[in-house]
Amino acid sequence: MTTPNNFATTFAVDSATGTVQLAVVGEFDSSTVDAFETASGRVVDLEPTAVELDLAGADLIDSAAIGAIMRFRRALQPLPTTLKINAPLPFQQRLFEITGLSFILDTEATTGQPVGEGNQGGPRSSPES
Amino acid sequence: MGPGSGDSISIRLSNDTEMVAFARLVLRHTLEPLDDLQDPLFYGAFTEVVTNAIEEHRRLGIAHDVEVRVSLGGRPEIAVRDHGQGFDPNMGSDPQPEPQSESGRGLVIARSVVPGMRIESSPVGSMVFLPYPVRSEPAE
Repeated sequence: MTTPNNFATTFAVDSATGTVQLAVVGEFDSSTVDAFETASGRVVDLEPTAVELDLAGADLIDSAAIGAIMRFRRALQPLPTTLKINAPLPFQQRLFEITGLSFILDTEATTGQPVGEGNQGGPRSSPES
Repeated sequence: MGPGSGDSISIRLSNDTEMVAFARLVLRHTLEPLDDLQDPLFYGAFTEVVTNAIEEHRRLGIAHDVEVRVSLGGRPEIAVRDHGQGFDPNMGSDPQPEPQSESGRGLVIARSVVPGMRIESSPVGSMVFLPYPVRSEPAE
């Protein structure tokens, strides 16, 4: 049976800046997390200078998806990589508020600091373990 | 999809999380459309509840389908039934799970975005009831 799954990821590399943009489109839930993790794993393998995770095209996000985003963020932490998460839709902002994770949105880390604890300062004072 | 009877529709889902998207599609074609904020929040909450039920069946090796029943009389309500071992109906009441946590966010989200959500749970199964938003009532 074919399920109505419109999920897709795309990534674009800017070789001049070393930035990788990973964009998510469609319904991002437990049934599509594996596809995201495959794509995000490729991004980590590239060891880019900067990563932008664009969720603007995600029209549904569940807790499994949020867990996958947190794992992606954690995988980047040992690298000298900045991460920016773009989640502009009101429902996305609301989800990150509910889960106490608003601090990871639209923040950038600097080299040697945990991702998301750069300029704006998250609620944590130590790296995730 | 099971036979509709009177004011309700029954959807039986095999124990595969890909079926959740199918259930969402059926509900979106059956119920009044929600606005751009309500839709992803409500169907996100529905996804959390159905995924939990399917994962409970898979964890326990339960062959029964998860049932989604949509009551259409008056204000619609969606009930999700599983045959698992039950859980604490107050689970997910903590509004702020640890940021590092890999799990435990699903019911927190569902409770936060679906006012009036309620849970009946016993050692032989659980029912989670999700009142469908009315257009004048923000999901949250």
